[in-house]
Amino acid sequence: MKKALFLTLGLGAVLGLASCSDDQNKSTMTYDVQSYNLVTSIDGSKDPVVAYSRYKFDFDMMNTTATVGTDITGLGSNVSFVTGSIPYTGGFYYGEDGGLRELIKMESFKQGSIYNMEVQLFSPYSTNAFPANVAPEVIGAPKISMPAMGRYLVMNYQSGDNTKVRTFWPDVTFCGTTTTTYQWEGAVKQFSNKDMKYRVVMDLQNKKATVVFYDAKFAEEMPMSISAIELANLDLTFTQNGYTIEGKNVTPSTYEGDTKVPNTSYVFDNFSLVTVGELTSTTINYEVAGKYNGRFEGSYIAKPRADQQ
Amino acid sequence: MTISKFRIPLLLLTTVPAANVALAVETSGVKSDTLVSQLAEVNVVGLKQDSRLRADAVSSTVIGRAELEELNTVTIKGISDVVPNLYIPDYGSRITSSIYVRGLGARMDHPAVGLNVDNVPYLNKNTYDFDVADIASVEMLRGPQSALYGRNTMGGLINIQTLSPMRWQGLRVMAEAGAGNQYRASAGWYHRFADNFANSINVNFSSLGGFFTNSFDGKKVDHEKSGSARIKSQWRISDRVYVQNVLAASLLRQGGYPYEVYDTGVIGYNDPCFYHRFTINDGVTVNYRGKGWNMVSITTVQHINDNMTLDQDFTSQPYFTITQRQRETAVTEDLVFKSSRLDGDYKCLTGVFGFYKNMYMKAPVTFKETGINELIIAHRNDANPEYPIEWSADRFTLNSNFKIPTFGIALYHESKYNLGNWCFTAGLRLDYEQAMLDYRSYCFTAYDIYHLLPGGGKELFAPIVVDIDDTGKLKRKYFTWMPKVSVLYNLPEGMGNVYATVTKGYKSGGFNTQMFSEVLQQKLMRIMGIGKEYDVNSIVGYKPEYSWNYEIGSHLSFLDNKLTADLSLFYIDCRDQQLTMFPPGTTTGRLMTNAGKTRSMGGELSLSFAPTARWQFTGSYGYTNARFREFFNGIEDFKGKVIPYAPQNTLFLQALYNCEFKPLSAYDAKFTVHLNMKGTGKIYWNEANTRSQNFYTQLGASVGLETIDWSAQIWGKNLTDTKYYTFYFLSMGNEFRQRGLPLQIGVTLRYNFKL
Repeated sequence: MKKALFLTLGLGAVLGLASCSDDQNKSTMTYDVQSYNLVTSIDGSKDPVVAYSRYKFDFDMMNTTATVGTDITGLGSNVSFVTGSIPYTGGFYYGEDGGLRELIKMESFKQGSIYNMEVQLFSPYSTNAFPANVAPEVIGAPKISMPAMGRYLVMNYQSGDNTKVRTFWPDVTFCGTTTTTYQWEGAVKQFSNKDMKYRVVMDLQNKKATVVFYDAKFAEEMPMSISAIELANLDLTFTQNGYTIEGKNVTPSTYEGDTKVPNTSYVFDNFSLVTVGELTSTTINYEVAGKYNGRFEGSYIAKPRADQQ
Repeated sequence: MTISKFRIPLLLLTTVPAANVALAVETSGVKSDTLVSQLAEVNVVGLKQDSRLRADAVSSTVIGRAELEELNTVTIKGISDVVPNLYIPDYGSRITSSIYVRGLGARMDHPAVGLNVDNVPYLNKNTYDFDVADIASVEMLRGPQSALYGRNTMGGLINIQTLSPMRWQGLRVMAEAGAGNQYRASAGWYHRFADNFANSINVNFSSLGGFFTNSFDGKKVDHEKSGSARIKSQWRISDRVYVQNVLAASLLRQGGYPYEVYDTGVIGYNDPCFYHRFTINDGVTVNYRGKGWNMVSITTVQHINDNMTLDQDFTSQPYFTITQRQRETAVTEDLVFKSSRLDGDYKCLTGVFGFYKNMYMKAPVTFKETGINELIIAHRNDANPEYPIEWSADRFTLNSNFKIPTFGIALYHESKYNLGNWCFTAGLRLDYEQAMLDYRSYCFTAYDIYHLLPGGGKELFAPIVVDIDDTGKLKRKYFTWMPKVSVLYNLPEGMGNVYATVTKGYKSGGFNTQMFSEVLQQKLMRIMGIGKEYDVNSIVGYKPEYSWNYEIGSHLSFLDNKLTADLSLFYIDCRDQQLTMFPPGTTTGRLMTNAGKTRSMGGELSLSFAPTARWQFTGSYGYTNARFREFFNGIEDFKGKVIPYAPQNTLFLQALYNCEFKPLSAYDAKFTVHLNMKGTGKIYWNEANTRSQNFYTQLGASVGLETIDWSAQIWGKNLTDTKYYTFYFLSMGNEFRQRGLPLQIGVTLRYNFKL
């Protein structure tokens, strides 16, 4: 996301927390944001590394600047820094779903050994009804894991000459457009659906992922949508570009009450999810039950409404 | 002096009701119609309008007592079609008082037409349909009356006044028998204790065996028993102070809902359908006459306790039933200050109106075996046939409890200025209303998931318990302003007047309580892994409806008032029109939605002609062209389609003849013949205009003998036994409709003991 319009200004209003004043009448605030990092080498010489870290933001609201720092050492990564003061902007915007969201943005070309840093700190929760980019409540589905205070960090930067870092969270829900193609009464039909959501839950330790389809409807002729279809135990692979999740001949489960029930009517002949770039958008392709070919493109960050761009 | 009703020639539609004949003043050539004696009772319409409706810039119809008796009318449904562009179909049960005026109407929740009975403004539409004994007059004002009468008078106002004990004293009894094992009896005692105090007590009983048979059990479905009582007290405390109190109660036990399958014409459902209701209302009117001004206070308390139980699928299969129990108490206060000087060019009226009502409702929907199998299990098993489910019981209940408190306050004013033959009127009402909904939706049931084994047979996979208990609160606030502007010109030589008006109408928003069972059902299916949940906030509430009404009209009198004509042309621009829809698919709840934009235009003509004392002819015709300007329901675009349920034409023709009956000339007896014809239609039954009822007519007639003390009448309705339908709906993919009443013949006897 390159730009967004802000409805209100002032970090104090945005963050909604009491600020601290020091003796010099400065208003400051500190945020500890949890995140995971995909650490890759620009020249591809090293295998990607996934590591957890906390990013500490110190906001100076009087001067609208902030410093940010983290320590991602170990596991083959050697990234550790604290920046100097970087100007930030903060405010609210309306997403395409009508939900009101917070966003804080910072950019810096160079901070010590950190280059081309772009920071977006999102809150997916809005002040009104249930926003689109949070998984619907479905009894039986995996419990939603969120970073502390519900703040998602989308950050990418270069550390030194050859290390690229991109943050991500291992439990996000993608919204966008699904288009399925299928045969119906001898003709090829296409069905477009913006209601379906895809939640990705990663098991980083075992390099596996669970993908949950919410409100799954593959054809116009399907009388009712399926509340949630879970594909478990898919292969999760991190690459220099991002990550992929794949599976073949996967028998999904649906949730009834708090019970997972296998559903052989919707076996996924193949499933492929590819996330690249700043790791907020994804492309999914799948074939279901030998008859529905689906393609999804979407993001877990709600795009601003057209009049907000 | 007592006034003998039977000495007055049979009344025309627009002539003076006998109860108010005391002072007949003719000014500007306008024949006096409804006249309120400022020394006697207060009629809220007479107070707020010009005391003679035909002198006012409003489309109005007044039906007197004798006319009502000729038409054999004791409820508001009886004036349907008699008043042009007014249609009150008889279907379902007495909970259903759907009133359509000029294309605007409502089948659920808030009415589009207000109803006052003895100055009590009935707030709950469920109470609109009841028998009223000894009606003195019915006035119908068409077009928005919101500026003076407030919420839910967007289509108009019906005002019923019952006989005044100040004007008539004695004992009146009536007995009637008719087709369908119909019996009615009423008795009214009217007594004047002193010159300034009078009281009346009325009791009324009716019983109907029914016209339509349920093929499932061979019994009549539309049977009914009802009773009512009224105590009316009038006290002229002084020359300045007048008090009236009317206490009325009614009890109803009714079957109802003779819905037949569209294709077969057969009524056949297995579960009981009935409507039971108890109402009690009290209205106190206090009139204080100052020097050149009047202050009137109308305070009312209203209570209804009813139970509507339906076989909601109306088939012989056990799908589901609903029981809706309501208990509502309301209080209203209307305080009006009006200038009463007869001289002077400027007159004004200012008022404050407030109300509070609180409703408790329970509306459980019980799913039965076939409903569970076809509407729930079938969908679930289609989605996962290898793991089919079986329900743990043959029924379960979706429960919904509501508490709906609503209050409102309004300030209104109207000014009139006469300038020669011109009269300019401007009015404004500021209205604030707040409605809240506390709800609890809950369901406890269970089912088992099985796994079909490869070699045949099945094993239990998992038991599933469904335990839903949702509560919530919703609140809606509405503030609106309702202006009114009119110009009237009095024609020379007493010919009448012409007028033009622009008024804004308003119908309150509210809550779709019937949709809660759908919300709960969808939640249940969500737990089962299928379907999408409804958002309570977006599906349960609906917005207010607004309209702008533009009208020109005229009230004319010719031939020394032997011929009168009322005509009007109107255009109504309606925003966010509230329409009742049946959601697609296998849901059965009625959803009130705001339709976007509609427009209605048409005209009305009423004529009355009394060439001699023996003959009288009346007729009325209404034409309405009401269409959607914008309405897309998410699936289909209905732009340009005719608005359903409202007729495009209404027609009423009537001829009255009376002559001396010589064999009983000693008793001053008269022989009367009355013929009438009602015409209605075309009515479209759905937004897509794929189903309709063509224009149809019904012939009515009566012959009778009447003297000063008694009358006997043989009457007939729908004498040609016209087959027509009054209602159509689609539910769970099945089409249903209700047939209109067949030929009916009966006899009515009346006797008045004057004291």
